[in-house]
Formats: sequence, C-alpha cells, structure tokens
Amino acid sequence: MKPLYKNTLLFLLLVGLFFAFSSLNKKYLLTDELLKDDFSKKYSIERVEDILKTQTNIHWYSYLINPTILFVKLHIYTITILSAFVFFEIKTKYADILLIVTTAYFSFLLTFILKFINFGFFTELNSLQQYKNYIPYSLLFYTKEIPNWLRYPVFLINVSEIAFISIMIFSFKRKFNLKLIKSSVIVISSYGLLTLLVAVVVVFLNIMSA
Amino acid sequence: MKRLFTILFYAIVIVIFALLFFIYLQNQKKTAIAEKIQSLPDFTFRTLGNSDFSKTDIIPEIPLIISYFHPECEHCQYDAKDIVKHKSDFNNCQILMISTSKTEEIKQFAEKYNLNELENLVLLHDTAFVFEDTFGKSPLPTLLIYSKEHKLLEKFSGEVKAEKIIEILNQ
Repeated sequence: MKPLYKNTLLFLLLVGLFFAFSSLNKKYLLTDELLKDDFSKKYSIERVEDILKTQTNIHWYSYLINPTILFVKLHIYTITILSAFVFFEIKTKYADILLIVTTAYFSFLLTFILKFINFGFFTELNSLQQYKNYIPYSLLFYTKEIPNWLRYPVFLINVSEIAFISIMIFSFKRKFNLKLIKSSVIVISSYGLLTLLVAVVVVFLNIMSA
Repeated sequence: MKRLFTILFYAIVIVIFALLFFIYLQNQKKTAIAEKIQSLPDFTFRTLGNSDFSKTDIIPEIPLIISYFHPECEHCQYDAKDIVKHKSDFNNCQILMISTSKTEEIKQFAEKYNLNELENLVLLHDTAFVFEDTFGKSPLPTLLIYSKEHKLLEKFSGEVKAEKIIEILNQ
C-alpha cells in the first residue's frame, strides 16, 4: 500500500476512534442531567438552559474542528521531527515519519478509555469536576494543591505522553536502524523541545489571564 | 540547512528561558496581590457624581460585595438581573459596582436593570483603570465577597448566581 493511502487510512481510523470514545463518554457519562446539576451550582436555572442549548448548537462544529486540529497537530509534530532528522543528516521521507507519528498518537486514546472504564463500571460520576479531575495516568492526579497556572505542565507528565514518545523512539530506531540513544536524542530534541515550548507558552498565557 | 536548524534550536531555547523568567516575575506579582486582597486593600474610585470614594467611605461592620463589570458584558447583565431579583437578601451588605465604562453608560445600565432598588449599592467609575492593579487580574465580571471584618471570603471570575453569593454571605 502506498504511504499516502496508509497515512490517510490510519488518520481516519484515529479520528473515528476519538469520536467513538468521546461520543460514548458524552452519551453515558457527561449526560445533560449531570451538566445541569453541575452548572446549577454556579449559574441560575435560566442560564444553565441557555448554556446547554448553546452547547447542543455548537456540538456539530466539533466534528469539523477536532479532525482539523488533529491533522494540523500531527503534521506539526512530523515537521518538527523531520527537522531533527535533517539536522543529524539521516535520509528519510516525510510520509514515513508521519506514519510513525500517527501510529504513536493512538496512545492518547487511553485518556478516554480509562475514564470510560472507571466511570462506566467502577465509580459513580457525580460532577463534571470529578470527570475532569480523574487523570490517574497523569502526575497531576497525585499532586495536591497545585496552582492553576502550573496544572498544564504537570498534567503533561502522563502515561499517554510517555507512551507516545517511547513508541516514536522505538519505531524510529527500528525503521532507520538507529541506536536507541540516537533515536531518543532525535525525538527529545525535536518533539520534546516543542512540547516544552508549548507548555511554557500555555503557562505564560494562563498566568497573564488569571 | 543544518545551520538554520541550529539557529532555530537555540532561538527556541532562548524563548523558553525568556518566557520562564517572565512567568517568574508575573507569579511574584500575582502572589503579592493575592496576599494583599485577603484583607480589603486601600482603593479610590470616582462616584457617578464625580467625587472620590475610598475604603474609608465603606459602611463598617457589614459584609461587602465588590463587582467589577461592564454594561455591555452579557454575563454582567445576567449577574445584575439576578442580584436585583434577590434584592431583599442583599439588604444587610454593601455592594460596590465598579466599571471602567463611561459614567453615562453606567447610569443607563443601573436604570435598565433597576439597580437603584438595591439598598446599599454604590456605583463607581474606575477612571484611572486601577481595579486590576488593586484586586488582581479581573475578567468581566469579577466578584469579590468580603466578610463584615473585611476579610476575603471568595473571589469569582465570571458569572455567578445570586443564591451562591447569599450562601457565602450566610456561612
């Protein structure tokens, strides 16, 4: 199969799975009843109805926006990693890197799967905050009393992220016959640096706006 | 090409360190303001009659609600409507509603939402844009609730229903 078809199929599968799990979560966990109960703690009943109506209206846009964001994200990661390959003078193709990045990205499905399993079968979900705070795969879950602006970088240290990086490192090692250390340097100096930059920018924006 | 990537790499590293330094400075400032507002800080705003209104003009021994709003902000309009709807519950506290908007617009807002029905309401104009310097970052609307001893009970950023404010006041 041509790399272009392979990448497209993999991307569509990834988008499909993300939609499937987020729809399952929305249908069985984040129900209107739960949202109503949660919002009414802070907002008046009329406002809660307004908010839910707006959410329903804009819900369909997510089917267009989310795949677009995912598409852009995967290509930014690919370009970043490709630049490290160029820097280390290792010959490669864009499509090969994109394929590995897209495959590794499946690790981020873990977020939805763990939440669905936990709240679907083991723990009763009582509030939106409880849903948001359930991140046992992240360091954030085990950190008490952390300032809001610091939440994102701490959250970034999670199982999905580590799996994403590890899968990329081992895949590049295998695909391009690199030593483990070289493959790690390529991923960490490119994707790692990009993630660090994003984390710092997010903290910067949070601290400026809060 | 290799040189370009080297330059880019170092540029990103420099940007990261510059942002980290800025974050450190901002955090210091934020922490200082957060500590300062735990007790009602000194402030001076202008009344709609164009006279000064400062901390000394506050009614003592009753809780204080400070609302930072803008007449055109939809969430502020909902807050105002909801507070007036529960006006009798706010009789035992003073409400300061502060805006950077024009005096005329504040007056129109007060009329439109019948704010004058609130007993201890003072509408103030932040002419010098100092609210955020005094009370920290304040997206619209921001609401600060102080006890009768003028200790901060809660700071809300964004819309909040009147019942929630009353619940905090009654704690």
